[in-house]
Amino acid sequence: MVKGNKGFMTEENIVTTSVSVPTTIEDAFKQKQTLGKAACYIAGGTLIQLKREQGTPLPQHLISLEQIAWMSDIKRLEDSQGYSLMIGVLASLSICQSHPTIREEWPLLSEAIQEVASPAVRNRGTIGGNIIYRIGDTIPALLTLEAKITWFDGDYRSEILWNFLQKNMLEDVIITSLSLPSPPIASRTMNFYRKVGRREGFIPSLVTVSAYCCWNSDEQVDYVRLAVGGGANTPKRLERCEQFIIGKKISIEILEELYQKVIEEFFPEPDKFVSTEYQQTVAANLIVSELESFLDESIT
Amino acid sequence: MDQGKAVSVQDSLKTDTKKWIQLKINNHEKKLEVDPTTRLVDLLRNEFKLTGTKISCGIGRCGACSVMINGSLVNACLVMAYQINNASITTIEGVAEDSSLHPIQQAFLEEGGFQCGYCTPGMIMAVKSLVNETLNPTDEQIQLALSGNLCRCTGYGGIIRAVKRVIAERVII
Repeated sequence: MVKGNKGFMTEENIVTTSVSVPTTIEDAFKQKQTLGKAACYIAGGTLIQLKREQGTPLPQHLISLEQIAWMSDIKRLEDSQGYSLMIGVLASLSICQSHPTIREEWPLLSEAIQEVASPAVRNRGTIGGNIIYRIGDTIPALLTLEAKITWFDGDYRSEILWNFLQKNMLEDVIITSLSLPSPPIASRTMNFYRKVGRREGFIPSLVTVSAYCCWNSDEQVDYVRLAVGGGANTPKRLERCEQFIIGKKISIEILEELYQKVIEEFFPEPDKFVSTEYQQTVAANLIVSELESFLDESIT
Repeated sequence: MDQGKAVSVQDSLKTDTKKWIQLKINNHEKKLEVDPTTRLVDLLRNEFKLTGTKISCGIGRCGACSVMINGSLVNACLVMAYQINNASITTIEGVAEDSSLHPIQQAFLEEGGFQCGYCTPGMIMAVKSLVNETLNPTDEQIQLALSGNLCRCTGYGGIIRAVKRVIAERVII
């Protein structure tokens, strides 16, 4: 085990992990199948280093995906259905955060990424790593943007991220890209991303919420995605809350009901710092206060 | 996969753990044989004796080990040796120009931008990254840029003054 700050160049800590750097996804997958649990994929490596320092030994073999060049691409795609954005999972968080197309057309994602760690970590960490962590802070934003995920298990397969997160995926699979559909068009839209930690900046989240909401010309909600996460909880969509406000005009009474429904649907695990009740309350406060600000704008 | 087969594959890998890497450190070419998972911060401090790069948290939280890889700010505690093959590394020792301090270093000195000094090399690398990338950063951009660099002396007042002085003097970095 790596001992804190002493590093691991001392004799007692010599690491015998080997590293391979395949240049195709097929080779990477084949190597993982051959080595099984003795191996682990690695990209930016920030999460593995974090776990290593916390006492999780490195596996005996690391399969680096960093040389599979196309997995870092970010491309805007257009077809007869409209447009979408393909983000290779090896794109660093900082590249994604500052990418002009993401900032222009999917700013919620850019905003969420800015809340992840620090600039130096974002220069190394990848968007794929944040997802495969399963508690990454970008996930609530990606859920509300209806992101699809593609992975390779000998063949390429795609699914909505929300469905993907609810499955126990085989550990050999390699996630390859994300796809963001064009944002829904409506008379009025609002989206937000809020993260609450134990201090203001650069801290793992206690509660994270994100929403994407559209209103029709009658001021009824006709599209909504609500997602919550934080702590050690895999982020989730609040589907019952979504169903509750679809077709309704937002009012104080509706928001009071929604507040209760968030608490009923979001049931996070407590940890050393926060209780379930605290996380529920914060999530409900954040969602309702943001929607209330929209109500204020409507009145003025 | 049966366990017996997995173990035999692992055993075969043990003979092939050392790797040759070549890189530039502060514009000097280096080549060495190294355990590929050695942290960059350990290489810098233990192999190259560049002890200006500090080590503290080891998990990318404090920024004491901030260096640049190909001009991009990173935490040297989060980078492994195999990831810097063919890369160009800049450490605090490579920031000064000839025999004079870099203008950022000079500003830290003159504005009281450090107390114990342990965070200072990382802070200066983070500021260098900021001013390289942003011509005239706002207060918010300064805060964001330094959000991953902690000063346990809490000497942030002097640090921010130093950054603003660098910006005000429109130093060409």
